[in-house]
Amino acid sequence: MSENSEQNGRKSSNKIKNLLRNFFTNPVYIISFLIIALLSIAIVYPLIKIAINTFQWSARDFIPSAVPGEFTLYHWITTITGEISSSLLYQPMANTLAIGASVSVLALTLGAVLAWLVTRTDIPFKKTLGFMMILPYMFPSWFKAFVWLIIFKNDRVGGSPGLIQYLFSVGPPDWLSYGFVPIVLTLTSHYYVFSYLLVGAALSTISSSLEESANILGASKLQTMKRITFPLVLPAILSAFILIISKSLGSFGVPAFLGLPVRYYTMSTMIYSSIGSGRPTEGYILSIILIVLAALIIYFNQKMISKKNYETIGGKDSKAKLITLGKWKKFAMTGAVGFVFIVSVLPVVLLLWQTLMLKDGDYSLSNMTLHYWIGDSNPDIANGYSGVFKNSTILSALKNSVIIALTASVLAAMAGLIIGYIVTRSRKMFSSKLIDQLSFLPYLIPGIALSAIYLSMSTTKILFLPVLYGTLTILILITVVKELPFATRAGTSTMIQIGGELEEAAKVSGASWFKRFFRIMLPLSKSGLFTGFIIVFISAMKELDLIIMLVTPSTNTLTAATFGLQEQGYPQIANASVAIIIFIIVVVYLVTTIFGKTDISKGIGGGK
Amino acid sequence: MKSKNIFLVMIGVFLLTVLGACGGDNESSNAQGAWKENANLDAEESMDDLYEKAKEEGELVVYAQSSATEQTVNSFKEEYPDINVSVTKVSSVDMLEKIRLENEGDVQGADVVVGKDSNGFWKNELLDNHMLHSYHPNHIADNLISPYDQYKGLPIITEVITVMYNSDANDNPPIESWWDLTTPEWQGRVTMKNPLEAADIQDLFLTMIQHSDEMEADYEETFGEKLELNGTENAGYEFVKRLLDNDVVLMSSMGDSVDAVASSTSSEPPIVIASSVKLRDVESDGLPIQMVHDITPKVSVPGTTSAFIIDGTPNVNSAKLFIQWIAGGDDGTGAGFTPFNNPGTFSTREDIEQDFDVPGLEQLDLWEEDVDYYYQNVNELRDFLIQTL
Repeated sequence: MSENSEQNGRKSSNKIKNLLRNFFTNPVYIISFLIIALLSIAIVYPLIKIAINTFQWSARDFIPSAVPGEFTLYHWITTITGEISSSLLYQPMANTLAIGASVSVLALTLGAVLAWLVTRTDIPFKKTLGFMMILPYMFPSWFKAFVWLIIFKNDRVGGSPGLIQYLFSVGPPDWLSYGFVPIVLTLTSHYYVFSYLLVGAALSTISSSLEESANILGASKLQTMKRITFPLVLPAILSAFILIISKSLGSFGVPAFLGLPVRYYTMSTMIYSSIGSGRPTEGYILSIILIVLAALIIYFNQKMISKKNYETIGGKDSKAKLITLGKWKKFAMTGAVGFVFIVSVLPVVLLLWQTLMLKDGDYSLSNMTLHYWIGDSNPDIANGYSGVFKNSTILSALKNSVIIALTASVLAAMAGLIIGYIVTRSRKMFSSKLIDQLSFLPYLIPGIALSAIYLSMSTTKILFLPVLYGTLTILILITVVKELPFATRAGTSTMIQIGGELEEAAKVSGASWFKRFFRIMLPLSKSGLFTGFIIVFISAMKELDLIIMLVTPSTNTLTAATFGLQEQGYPQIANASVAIIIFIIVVVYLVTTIFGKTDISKGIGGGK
Repeated sequence: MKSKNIFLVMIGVFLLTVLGACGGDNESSNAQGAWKENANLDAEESMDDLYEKAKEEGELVVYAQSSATEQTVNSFKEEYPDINVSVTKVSSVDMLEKIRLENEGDVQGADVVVGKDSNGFWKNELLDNHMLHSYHPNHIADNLISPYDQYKGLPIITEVITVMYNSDANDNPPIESWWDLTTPEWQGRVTMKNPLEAADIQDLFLTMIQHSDEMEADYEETFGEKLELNGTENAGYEFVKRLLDNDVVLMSSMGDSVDAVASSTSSEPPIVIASSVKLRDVESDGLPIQMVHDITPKVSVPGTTSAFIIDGTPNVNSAKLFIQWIAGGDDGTGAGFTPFNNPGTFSTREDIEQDFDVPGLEQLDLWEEDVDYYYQNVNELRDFLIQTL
């Protein structure tokens, strides 16, 4: 009896030893563990912190029986069933969902059609078109709302008339100037880029031999599209859907600009207004509800994606054969060029023009000046602010912005690829699912809420970490965390396409995990890595809501400086700064494209 | 035991460690008393003396709400070249969070703060909890107009949230009473920053609610009939409701709302409820905008910008010097005040001359600020606004 149990004990202790050895020698486990550990500090902990906050009385509740810090359901009850719940929660929620659904449908369709045109047909000027189609994503989104108003503004808000009213003397109706319609269209013109990039990536990695086989077997073009092409790009469409819907659910700038004049609230503008007016608890509750909403959407999406699973890259790939547009060519070209002009060219022209206007709003040639670019301080103009290239504050902010964006995007792209690898290679493991979900969470936390939490975290010591407040590190960290979902999507959709057999072959020949990852996976996913990098870089350069509360004099960024300038009424200098931001993004994008020897406008994974 | 379970256990242990370590560990600050004693905030020191002492200190960091404070840095650096100073612009609410969290985390983010209390948060949460300190040198404070001499912190300037109109389209002020804005004539023609996001507009509404009896009397005087409440608590709330129900156009920025009125080419331009400081921006661009100087029952309530010293600053002499500097120095003629000296920005000192079209502070019929009232009633107003908007 005792011998037996001793044996059992030895057996099980051996078993545990084995398991532990297995755990510590298999890099996938160690990396998974590290990733989960980091995500816990960076994401889970802040979330728990806000969640707890919503169940406590705060010093600002002014209810006689309330003891600050004590447990209460008061805030949840007021938000969900109270008198204000309809205005605070349900109406904004309905608006948010309507926007999310409409933008997703429009942006997905638009992006997919454009991606198909550019990657699979013989439409001319592909490179230029491809580049111009990504350009809108490089503009701050609030800037497009501003352009919308220049064109569609009616006299409801006073001020100078919009272009339509100016030309036809009749103002557009309110529904076209403000609220749901313009918000949806403006956001669509921004977020179709996700679907364009991801679907383009999938399309260009599909070996055309698959489609050719279908043709040989007698399938019609439509059948091939439906049975071969569409299922193969479905994962990309679903990934794009996640990005688009969560981005539009949480977007703040555009609904704030275009919704307010007709009192059209979304959950994000409500959250901002709650946190901004010193009552964060309601804002946190709305944030949690928004997170849950988005999580539900993603849960169902995840279920769909795990059913569909195709591997299409098997080493060398044959060049995709282009579809001849024939008589449709002219039509497609006109449509594409017209679209690109409206979303990419016009806004830039208006922006640049405005930086040249000595007096804002005067479009005459005599009013043009380069003062806001290269002028020395002149007390008569803009309170003595010197032009952007002569202004030490702006130049140092520019330096910070570039450092933050570069570091954050390199880190995020690497992390995204590794996470993508883990998630796709051990998809059935609980830890992989957990990592996948965790890395997506930050996307659902509105920037302003995340910023508030990080502000409170960064001023205290956590574990062995020093106080990070006032350093560039905290700005880089929050950017990486916030952009991780992007990088992970890019990493995952790249990894999904790389066949396991290559790695297995290496494994059989005795290559270690690290060797396999660095010699096989990394080179094959190079363009995916660059895509992750550039997507994060673009966002990080434009980021404002997220960092505005965390910057200090020595860590000021160009966006924060721009925000200040805009607020103080120096729109030309502010716009010149925006132009610099866009310029840097475009340059880095082009360099990445050339250096990465891949044209990400053709899509991820297209490089040879 | 499967490897999955080991994994789960390890994650669990890790999470517990993290959460445990993150839990609040509040150390009491005995250092505070010592700091305050050394800081000697009640001492009367001349600017020259302070400069001598300040030379030994580190970089002075100022949190400010206004660009005027930023601009004052240039003249300060000229006058006191041995002091390194930088100003960060922070909004009123962000400032509250920043100062509170920096204090709790023992981070000295800044030494001086210059700005407007919003909804009484600064007074009730920062000043009363000794995160901010008043600095009131008598040789400056003695020149303050009543009631500003009684304020916490050193008042620098004040401004009012009131009605402004396009002076090209109107020769005379287009309204006389606040209640005029609730009539059909102004339907869809009043614009303002979204009050949910504008603490200063909330403070004006709260003042009207606090003085609802005056609002009620004024209604009767204006329209010759008794005010009937539509389910609201009092005449103050009733005014807010009727104003917002009159299709007010909300904007996300106060500057934009003023610009919209100033640059309107319509024959019936809108009017705007906004801060008088915007008169500076618009006037410097040559746009036609005027403030209504006389509204019944009162023009408005002031929103005062004051300077405070942040608890624990090691640069206390530089901080004191900077505050005296922006207040205009001993006799109010110092260059530190110059960036603040604009139409619509009212000096709280009687010895500072302001020669503009706008009447001086003492000519305006104003309610008095009551930051404690704001602080205790702002939640109720906010809920009301959310339901009404």
